[in-house]
Amino acid sequence: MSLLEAKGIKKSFGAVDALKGVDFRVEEGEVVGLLGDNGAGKSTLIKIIAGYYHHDEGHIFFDGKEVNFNTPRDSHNAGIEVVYQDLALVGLMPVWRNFFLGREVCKKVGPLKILNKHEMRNVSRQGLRGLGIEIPSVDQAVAFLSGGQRQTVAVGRGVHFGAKLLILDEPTAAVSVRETEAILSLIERVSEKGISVVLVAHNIYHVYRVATRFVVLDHGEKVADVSKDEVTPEDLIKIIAPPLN
Amino acid sequence: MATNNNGPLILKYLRFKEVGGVVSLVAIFGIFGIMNPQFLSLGNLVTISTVAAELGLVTMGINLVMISGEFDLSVGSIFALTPIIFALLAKNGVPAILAVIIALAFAAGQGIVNGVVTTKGRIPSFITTLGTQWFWRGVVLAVTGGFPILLPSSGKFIAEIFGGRFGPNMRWSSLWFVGFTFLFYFILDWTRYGNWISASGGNPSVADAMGVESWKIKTSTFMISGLMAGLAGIATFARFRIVDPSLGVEMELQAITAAVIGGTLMTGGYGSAFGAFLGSIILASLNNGLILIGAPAYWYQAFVGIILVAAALSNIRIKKKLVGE
Repeated sequence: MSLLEAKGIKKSFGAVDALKGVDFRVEEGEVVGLLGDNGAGKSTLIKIIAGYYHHDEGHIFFDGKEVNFNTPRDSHNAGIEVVYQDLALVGLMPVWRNFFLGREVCKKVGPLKILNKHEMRNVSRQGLRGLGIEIPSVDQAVAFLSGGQRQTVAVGRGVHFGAKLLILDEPTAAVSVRETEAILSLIERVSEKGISVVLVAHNIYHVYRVATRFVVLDHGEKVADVSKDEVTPEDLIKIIAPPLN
Repeated sequence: MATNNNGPLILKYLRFKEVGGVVSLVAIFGIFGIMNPQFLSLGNLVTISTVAAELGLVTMGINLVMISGEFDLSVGSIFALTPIIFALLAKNGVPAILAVIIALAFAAGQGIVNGVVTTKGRIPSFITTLGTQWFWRGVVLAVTGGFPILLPSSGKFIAEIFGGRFGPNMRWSSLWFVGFTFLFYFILDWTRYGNWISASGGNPSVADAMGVESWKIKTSTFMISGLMAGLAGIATFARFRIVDPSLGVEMELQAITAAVIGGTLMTGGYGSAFGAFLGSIILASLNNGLILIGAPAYWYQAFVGIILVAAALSNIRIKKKLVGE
């Protein structure tokens, strides 16, 4: 039984058919690279899975049950975590407040429930340790962090709170060369824990490094669904952007 | 690392973000104190504290709305209408305690309407509350016929709980103001709800994705803002014993300015209760000081306008360094 199974997904925006009946499957512990040129429908598919959009037709099964995500909150509750840089964290708030947003740890002081700041600072510090990118202080506003650090916070949060599926959109874009390596290693480590990852990216070589399977979309349709031992990065590039003859 | 090199410096500033407010306050007291030593007399300081409290109670509420990412321009009208409702009910035989509860329930209830219309209707709060500001002011004029309403004797006791005298000249409103400052600081900094307010203002989509229903949070801050404006109006009623139909006009300008002086970002997600406290005192002492040195009345308005823009510019520059956009 797959962790995520999307069947016959169709989605149109007015006259534009973004997805024309796509099947998409993710197994437990897999890292799936979702590829395709601009306008292929990768972003739309991802947003449907994450609950930002609703599919017009088709069915989605998560963890064995059919699901109907109406809002991102629904998919979040089901165990899907989105790690887009600006869709995952509130820039003005410090790391620890972001880490526990919506799941704040409180302690009782008399009749009142107040934030257990000490605990949340410690736990977030622990949860972000050893992920490959150093977060110097959990008191720092997220906006001060580099792209790689922000991804680490979002991923670390997801892992800590038991996410089953992480969705990363262009995680290595806007990230320094040194951090790119760390992020790719982080993805590998996360999947070793049994968490599934869907990786949307343009950089084939980065995706090839960490993904075990590749799904290629083109103009709203799936044109390839291959495992790593079946293709080379160059093969993938040719599928995505066939050479003009 | 691509971290902002100005980071630590700005953080240090922000840890004492109220420093700007304290410095301004000291400057104002220094300048006016020299120009007219009466400014620093005990009696005058008490006057300042009373005026600051009446503005400050409104500012506390509007500050919360702004941190949650919205604006409430209707506070001035609610500031006038709430004591009017209280007076009319009390005058017509409703027991004062019930009258005040109904009046404050109205103040809170119209806030909920502001919130729901803004969030569910997806209208900018600026527009919603501009509309309700005018609507409720219209109701004030219609109900009063343009004439002031007197505080009925049956309502005196209740009204004075909020704004009556104690001691030589101090008023309860000052204590309410201090108390609410601590309460709002506590809420913002030490509760889950406070975290949700900051998140709803900082990035409502993220807040929603993480399970925080930002529309509910924003609506609740509108409710609080309305309630505080109503409370402040009743406290002021206790002092003046009449409500003029023009009471509270342009109060929203002053309250927003006070919040912005205190460091609250116009775009939401960031603000301080103590900052709003200082901002209110600054405006109140500015008003008082200008009167004492014999400046024409409209100078205050001009100053408030300048200060609002200057403080907002300064906050934006800080935010730019914070968020880099």
